Amino acid sequence: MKEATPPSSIAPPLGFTLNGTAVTVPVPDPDVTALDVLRDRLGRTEVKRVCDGGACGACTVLLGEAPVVTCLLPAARLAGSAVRTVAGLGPDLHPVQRALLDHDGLQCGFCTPGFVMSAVGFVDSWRASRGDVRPDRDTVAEALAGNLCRCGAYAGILTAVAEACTGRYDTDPDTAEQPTRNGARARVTGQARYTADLLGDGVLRGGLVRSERAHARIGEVDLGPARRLPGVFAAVELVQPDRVVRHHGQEIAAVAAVDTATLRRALDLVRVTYQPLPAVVGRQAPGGPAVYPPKHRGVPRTGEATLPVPARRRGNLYGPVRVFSRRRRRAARLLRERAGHYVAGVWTTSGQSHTPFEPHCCVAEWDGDRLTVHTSTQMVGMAARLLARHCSVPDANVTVLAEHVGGGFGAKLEITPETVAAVELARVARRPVGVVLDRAEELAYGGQRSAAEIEVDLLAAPEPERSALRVRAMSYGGTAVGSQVASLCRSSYPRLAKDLQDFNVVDNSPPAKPFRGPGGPVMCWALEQAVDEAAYGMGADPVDLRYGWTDDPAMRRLYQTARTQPRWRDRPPPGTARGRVRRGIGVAAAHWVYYAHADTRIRVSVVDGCLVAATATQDTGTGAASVVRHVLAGRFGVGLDRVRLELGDSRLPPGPLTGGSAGSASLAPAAADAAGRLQAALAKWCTAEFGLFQARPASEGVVHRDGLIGWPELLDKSPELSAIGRRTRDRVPYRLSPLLTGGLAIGRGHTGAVMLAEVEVDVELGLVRVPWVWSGLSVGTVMLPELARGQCHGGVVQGVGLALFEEKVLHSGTGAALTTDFDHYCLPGIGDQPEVEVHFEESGFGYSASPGVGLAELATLPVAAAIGNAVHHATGWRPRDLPLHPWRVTAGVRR
Amino acid sequence: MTPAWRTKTLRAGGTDLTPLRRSGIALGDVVDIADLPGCPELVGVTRRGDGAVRIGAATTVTGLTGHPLLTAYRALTDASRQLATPQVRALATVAGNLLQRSRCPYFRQPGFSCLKRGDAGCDARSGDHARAACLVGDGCVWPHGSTLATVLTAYEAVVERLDQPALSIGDLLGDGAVRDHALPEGSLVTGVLLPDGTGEGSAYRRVSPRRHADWPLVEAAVRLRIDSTVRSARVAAGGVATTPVRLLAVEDALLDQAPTVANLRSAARLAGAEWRPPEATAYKVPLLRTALADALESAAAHAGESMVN
Repeated sequence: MKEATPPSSIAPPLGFTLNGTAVTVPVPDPDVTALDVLRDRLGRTEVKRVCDGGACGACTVLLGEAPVVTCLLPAARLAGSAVRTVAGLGPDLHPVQRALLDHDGLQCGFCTPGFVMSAVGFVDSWRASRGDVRPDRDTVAEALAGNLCRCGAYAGILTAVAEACTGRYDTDPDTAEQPTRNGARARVTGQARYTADLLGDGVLRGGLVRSERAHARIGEVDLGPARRLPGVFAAVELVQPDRVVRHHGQEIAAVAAVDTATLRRALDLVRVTYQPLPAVVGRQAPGGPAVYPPKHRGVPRTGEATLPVPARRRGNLYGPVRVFSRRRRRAARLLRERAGHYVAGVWTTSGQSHTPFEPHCCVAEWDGDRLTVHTSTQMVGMAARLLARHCSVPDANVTVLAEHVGGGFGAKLEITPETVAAVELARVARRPVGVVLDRAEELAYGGQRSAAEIEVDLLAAPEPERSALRVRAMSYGGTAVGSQVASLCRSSYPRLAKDLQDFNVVDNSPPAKPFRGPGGPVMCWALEQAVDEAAYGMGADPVDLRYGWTDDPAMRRLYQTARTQPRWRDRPPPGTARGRVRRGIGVAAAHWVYYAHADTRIRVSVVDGCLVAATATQDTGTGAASVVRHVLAGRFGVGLDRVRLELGDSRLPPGPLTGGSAGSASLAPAAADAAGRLQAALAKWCTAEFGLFQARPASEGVVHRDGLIGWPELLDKSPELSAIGRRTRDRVPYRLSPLLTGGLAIGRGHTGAVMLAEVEVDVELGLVRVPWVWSGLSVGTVMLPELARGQCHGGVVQGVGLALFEEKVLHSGTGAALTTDFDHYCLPGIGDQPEVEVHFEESGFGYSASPGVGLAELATLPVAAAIGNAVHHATGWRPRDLPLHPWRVTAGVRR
Repeated sequence: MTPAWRTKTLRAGGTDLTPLRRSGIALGDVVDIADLPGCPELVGVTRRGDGAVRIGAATTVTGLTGHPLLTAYRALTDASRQLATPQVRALATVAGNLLQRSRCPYFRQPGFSCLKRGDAGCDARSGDHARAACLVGDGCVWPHGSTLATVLTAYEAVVERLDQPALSIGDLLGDGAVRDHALPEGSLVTGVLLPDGTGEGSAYRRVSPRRHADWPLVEAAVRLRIDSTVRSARVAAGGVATTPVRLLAVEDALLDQAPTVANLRSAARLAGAEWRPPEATAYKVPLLRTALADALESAAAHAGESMVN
């Protein structure tokens, strides 16, 4: 990529050694960073750009022997140095890489190259000075404290790095050759290519002009000066049809230029005339100036609803949605009569930014009326169809590609503005255009879990029939509506009478998006603490009360197992801990919906003796793609080395979007079905080819009158054959037909989780640590336990973040986010990772076409609530507001 | 003749300047200190004849950790292990850390009013500011970002400059009301001098929500000389005001007292007694008192060990 050179440049070219090879790069601009040089000039895309502020460590390389962040390092400092990136570790894997593969110390992989380099620096120096001794957990955490992982793979990383110090991984274990996780080897070696890595030569850099106002009518958008700037290839307007912007940062225009420096200058040249409109941000929004005119069509949806239900509107207030109540009149009567233990309270939660480490990004290219889009998305198939509609071209003209996706968590489940911008700019420029959000944009506008205020009235009696619940939840989704929090209480404690009311408030702030278990952790934070308070108020054990309120046999078994955990069994009465650091333990439970994408299809082909499975889904770091390989390897009795996946391409047979924890439950039955069909085809082929008699496919291979030909042997001999399998139906009808939802089915039954969290609260400093979590889940049979455990760990880390640290803060006047970097938006670090014990209650779902169903969302639902209950147990103070900032804790405990 | 660099922005590790230039807050020409002609030794730790220790301005934070000449300066070396992240500490320099700009989000982002960017008002004062200072005047309300500034305040460090008289650490930092430091334009910090630390006990205590790699809500650095009673005490607090604060009332209360836990804690309770903190940050005062009590106990224990050695 060419950079515009300021005329005053006199700096000599920069020379240094990169991965053992001498390189020379002209660096005329003193503000160019080492990351700019490595990633953008030299194409070392394994060096990742995530926070661009020194906090996350994704851009870590070794400078000499020392791990350093390259995003804060002026390029000039590289002069004469030796730089090593993850690509320079080969050809053999470093022990750290082998250990990470063996302990599944990664998910989406976007932070992995940086983690590897920090760990290599630590492990090599540790072994040089101390020998092959295993360091303790906190020593590793301290050494890796400069690296963040949004997926929450810390538990595996901690174990892997400690093990790498012992010398155990100096040679390849079998797992390093074929790790359980799909794509893992490419990720630990930095070879995995993400959309953000595709902005090489010949790709124009696009960027967005954003509203400086919270609410305004857009007058003129003057793109002329930007267009006239040399090096600018396109400038387009992105204003909505009604020409109103409704939140700070809303997209107004986009520009594409030859490089980022020119782009920045061009963006500054775009002049926008605003006619300000009255704006409102925050809790006073219901009575504030209207965000939307009456009868406005096209109010965006947060996507935070299990089943979207339209709601009445009064000004900025939408709701209530009450259709998920059960025996509402009975609930009202019981709550009025109060024959039992009555608990009432209001709980609040904050906005939680998704901030996937690969930001929203897109590279688009037109060829006539055919469009190819690389985009970091959780839905390649759906994205292609939506883009075709957006561009008014036939579906077949649009291809969406996403080979590796660096995390999504729900933020990448729609056609997002950077993709629209790249597509429009590429159309005008007639050249490929890439748009990548920077971290400030990602944190401010990339999506967040709605903040909420939840009012709970609970009448509790040991008998569920005499108990009742009223929940009124107010969700603050920015400009978007449709969130459900109270409604999610329907599946908890089904025998309680319930009045569930969901309200949504719109204001002039960026729209919320569905975040892992949308509404769920928020619902649990209120409901599960109310149940806890009721139990202790009644003198009952919180596990016993919940046990008595459920008929679900799997949940009952989970409660029984939880009850026998020594830390729970031997706990003191609540609020009796004394001293400055008080330990406590809390329980919380949750349910989630069993979703499956009924349309899922997988094509399995035999190519050169290997199986190639193809489906239009994407690998964001969940275990779902890996499940496909394991199903096929199992059915054909071959190693994983003989099963390849083709994913991330909308032209492939339809696959599931990554959402609703539906991946494995959609893909596993389709893979099994495809295997069966391919085996039938193989049987047919070999009958003719070898002249077999009475040949039929069996589990080991093709059985015929005179013996058996095993599947591995048949794969070796087979010509190119393929078969398409589809997700077979469950043996009972879906609760919600996929015909109503465009493919997403809701299956019978709910998944369930019971979690215990232990906390240590320093009541003087207000610091809460979570040393231990027990995560018990009922999701049927677990297909890949090691990856499923990783999902549970990630769910716990994100729950710890929600509980203790994460809060998207908006300026009350403008709605501009104040938390636009990782200094101010605080993600949990590796030192905040609890020890997590995962327990799978493997029963139920025998009627499902899939052995087990999804768990990713379930695994994060009760975490914050269990922590809240543990804090109460430790201190006697009932937390109400998230996150548990030290100032809230000290104030609460003092009261 | 004034050398050209004296009118330019000097860059050491660049870990703070880089994002500031990217966001357009820091402007003008940049000169890397490594490229300065005729510059004295800027990197390394040396011990002088009088026992004082000199730390070169461009010594990295990692370069302090475990340095053999700094074993008597435990508050400094402990702090050097806790600030920022390992990958930043390997690049960030001592002087750069002292001269870093505010970490206030209203300063770092465009679109807000900020005294330190030359505006007339301060949006942090009226906006969300739970992490702001608890001892505030009419100026800026955000605490100084430098942990080393807090520690070096406790050490009463002297700041050397090239061809110019040395400054006290307090004079270098100034009052923080509208500037993050008071170093005159055209000055180059070449090193910091620490008094002989032999025989004293010191400690650094940081209170951060996250276990590692987090900014402090409050922090305390203390030095004690103990000879059956406290012979001298130096106590500094960070995270509470626009520049680190020496807590003289605490120091006075410690003097000539036996270093019992009760005495140390009652002295710590004097911290911030006369402050009038804003409501949102009043929580920092009790946090500071606890952090300070922890630090004093740790320093007293350390002083005991130092005497035995």
